[in-house]
Formats: sequence, C-alpha cells, structure tokens
Amino acid sequence: MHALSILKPFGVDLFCTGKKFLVFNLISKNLKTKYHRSVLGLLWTLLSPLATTLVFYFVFKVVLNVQIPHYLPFILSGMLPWTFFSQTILEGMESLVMSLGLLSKVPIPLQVFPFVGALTNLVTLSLATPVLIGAALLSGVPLSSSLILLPVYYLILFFIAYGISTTLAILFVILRDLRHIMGIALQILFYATPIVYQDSMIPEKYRWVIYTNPVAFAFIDLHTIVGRGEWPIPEHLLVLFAWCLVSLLSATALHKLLGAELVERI
Amino acid sequence: MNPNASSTPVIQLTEVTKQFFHWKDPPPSLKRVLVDACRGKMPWRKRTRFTVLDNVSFDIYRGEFVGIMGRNGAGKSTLLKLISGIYQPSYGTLTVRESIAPLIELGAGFHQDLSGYENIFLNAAILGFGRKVTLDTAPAIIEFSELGDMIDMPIKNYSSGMLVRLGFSIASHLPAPIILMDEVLSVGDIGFQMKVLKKIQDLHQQGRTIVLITHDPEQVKRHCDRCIVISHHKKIFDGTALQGAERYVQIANESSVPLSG
Repeated sequence: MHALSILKPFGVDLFCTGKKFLVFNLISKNLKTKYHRSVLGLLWTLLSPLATTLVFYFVFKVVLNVQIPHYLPFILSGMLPWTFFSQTILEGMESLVMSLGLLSKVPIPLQVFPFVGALTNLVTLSLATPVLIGAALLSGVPLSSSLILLPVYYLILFFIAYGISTTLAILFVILRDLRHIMGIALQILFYATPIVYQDSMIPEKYRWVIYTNPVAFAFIDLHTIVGRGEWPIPEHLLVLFAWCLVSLLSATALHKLLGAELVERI
Repeated sequence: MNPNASSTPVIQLTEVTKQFFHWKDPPPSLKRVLVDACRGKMPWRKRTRFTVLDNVSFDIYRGEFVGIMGRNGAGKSTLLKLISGIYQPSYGTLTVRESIAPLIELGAGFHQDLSGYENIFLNAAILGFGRKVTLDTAPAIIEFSELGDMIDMPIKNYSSGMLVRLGFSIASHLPAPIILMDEVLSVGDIGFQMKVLKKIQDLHQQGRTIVLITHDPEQVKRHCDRCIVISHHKKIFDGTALQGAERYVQIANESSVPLSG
C-alpha cells in the first residue's frame, strides 16, 4: 500500500493504476486501428523517421562530410526515440480536446488520454528497435552488452514526454494557440539536442545548451550505446531521473490545480 | 415509493448549485494572456458566470426508479452529469454511495474499425468495468443485441439500429447498481423498443436504482416510482410519477413555445 502510493503523487493517479482494463483496451484499439493489424502498417509509421534519417545522412555525411563513424545507425539511434518523444508530446497535448466527446459523457480521469497515447507510441518505438539494432550491425558497430540499458532510456523518455504532454494537454484546453508554439519549440529542441551531431562538436561557450536541455543526456547515451557500442556515463542517469521527476510533478501540480473543472472548459 | 427501497440514500444532493463560466469572445489564448499581462490587466477578467442548476436537493434510495423531467435547457443533463461525476458541483454537496453506469450516450467510445465484439470490451472499459465482468457478460450482451454472426464484423458495416441495439445491450447487462439514462429508451425498431422496456423493468425488479431523463410523460407514468420536475434550473416538483408527469405537461403548455420532442 505504502509502496503504491508513490505512483499516486498528491492523490493524482498519474499512472492510471485504477484504470488498467481501460488503458489496455484503448492501447489495443490504437494499435489495431493505427497499423490495420499488419507489419506493413507498422513500417508505414516508421517511414517518416527513416526518410528523415536518410536526408540527414545525405546532407551531413555525403555533402558536408561530417567525421562521425557509423553515421547511419548514429542518427537512427537518435531519430527513432526523438520521433517517439515529439509525437507523444504533440499528440498528447491535443488528446484531451480530441477526447471531448468521451470526457463529457463518461467520468474518465483525464490523464488516461495522454497516458494511453504515450504508451501506444512506446510500443511503436519498441517494435521499431530491431530495425535500429539491425542497422547498427550492418554498419559494423560492435554489439555491446550495454544494449540492456536501452529499455531504461526508453522509459526515461517515456516519463519525461508523458509529464510534458499531460501538462500541455491541460494548458491546451485553456490556451488553444499553444499548438503553434509547441511546433516551433520542438523544432528548436530537436536541433538543440545531439541527435544528428555529437555533443563534443558543440563549442565550449554553447555547452549550456546541453546542460539545460532535459533530454540531451538521453540522446548522448543512446548514441554511445547503439552508435558506438559502449557503456554510457552513469551520472547522466541521475540528471535524467531528476528531469523525469520535474516533468511528472509539473503534470501532477497542474492536474491538482485545474483538473476538477477542466471538462467544462473544453 | 418502491418497497425494496432502503433507508440510506444512494444518491444524495444537498443544496447543489452548478455554475458554468462563459468566456466572452475572443476565447483565451497565450497571445492574449501575454498582451494583457503587458498592459497590466488580469488575463481572466472577461469571465462571466451563469447558473445551470440552482440550489437543488433530493435523495434517491436504493431500488427507486426516478424520472427526471423538464423542458430543453432546464438543467436535466447537467444534473445527470453531476451525478455521474463528470462535473463537480460549484456549491453544495453531492454524495453517490454505489457505482454508476452513466448511459448519457449509448456506445460511448465505439470505434468504427473494430468489430462488435471488440467494441463490447472497449465500451465496458470506458463505462468503468473490469475484464472479468465483461468476459462474463459478453455472451448475454451478444444474445440480447440479436446481432448473431454480425458481432465479428467491424461496426462501420452496422446500421444505426444495430449500433443502438449493441450500445443498449452492453449498458443494460453490466452489473452497475445505479443506472443513469438520458433519453435512451426509444432506441431501435418497435420490436426492440418493447424488449428495451421489458429489460428496464427487469432491472428495476432486480432492485437496481434507475434515474431516467425523459420528455415522455407516458413513460414516466408507466415505469417510474417517482418523478422530479426541473424548470428554469430549479427543482419545482418531487413526488409521485403520476403527479409529476401532469405537472410537466402543465409547465410545457404554459409556455407559448411549442413542446419540442
């Protein structure tokens, strides 16, 4: 009982522990309708990150001749988790407004919708992981035992993205022009995160970009694990755990503050 | 009052008032908040309140079949959403002591591309039921819906009549002690309507608490134990079904606007 209360900070059932069957059914609905029950359907959703990866490969490797070994799996190891991260935030932000039909007819805790969206995307990311590891092997990256850390980083990105998307989903109900701003913000964050480049390439006086970026260390470590086949620096995990907490607590606080009367405002 | 009604109310409203906020246009946006903040104004100043339910009190006991009547816009649906827990009261207290199946809309959350069978599970989960209960009830739901083999087809191939049959079957077979219904009795063709009314009476006989919103005085007279009439956001009558239905016809006729639905 006491151990479980950590899952419900300040009485907000952030991880929908009381609605497991509902969460399961909504995810199953999403997966069935998104992929039309086929592998091709899953590959279709990967088309966008794969195409973007090839574009960056062409621009940076072929045209600009950037000196990063195994550049293709290097970008891919950042691009797939980034697609998960940004999609979760953008879709999650609109999830409450999109679910108005349901929320105004059935009492459902509002965090269910961003939570289900984030979990659905996490399943997609997990199913796409063989493509990522395959690309690394083909490119000749040594297969490292550090790959067992991959799920840890997926979960970290999941917590950060879920917290941010829930926070934004609540704000989006009141401030409908948030979508434009978030589109731009995520684009800036993409280039401020070492995804298509290495963090060591950033000049010393701009290092603060990395240190103030909630997800930078996650992508640095993903590059280390998949792109180079090495073990990441453990201190990075501490910083990332702190960002998880900040993100989830901001969602909890906003839920506490505005959650009760939110449905009426949509 | 129904003989199997017990002494503790399962739904208890004490001086419940519900107000909504209305934003004067344009609606709030980040741009506006920033512009207003720069001008030193409070960003939320353009909010006005209006009252949808004014100081409503009543108790509903276990096993009662209560009809709620009122003209369009009187506040009936808001009342049902308050009892369901979708809205919170602005003032007053509302206590609900047993779990509720809110049938404000049949087939809430149905997805076009899923089969009827898959939608049973989705809908039951949305209504707040668990896996085991749904598995146990599914055969009875399928039988009552008269869908036969169609149950494994995507529901986009269903007619609207088939959809409401499935929606009603799910809602009426799940074991909720309290059932809230917003004008869902007149679904399907005549044959199915008879079946619906029979099912509702069965649920009543089993001792379930039923709250029904309707515009049909005959339905109230025939099925309900008790009737509450809401007019202009206030409770104006609470008593027997017969008197309540008559009171409703009376207030409906008083107004010059013709009675709609």
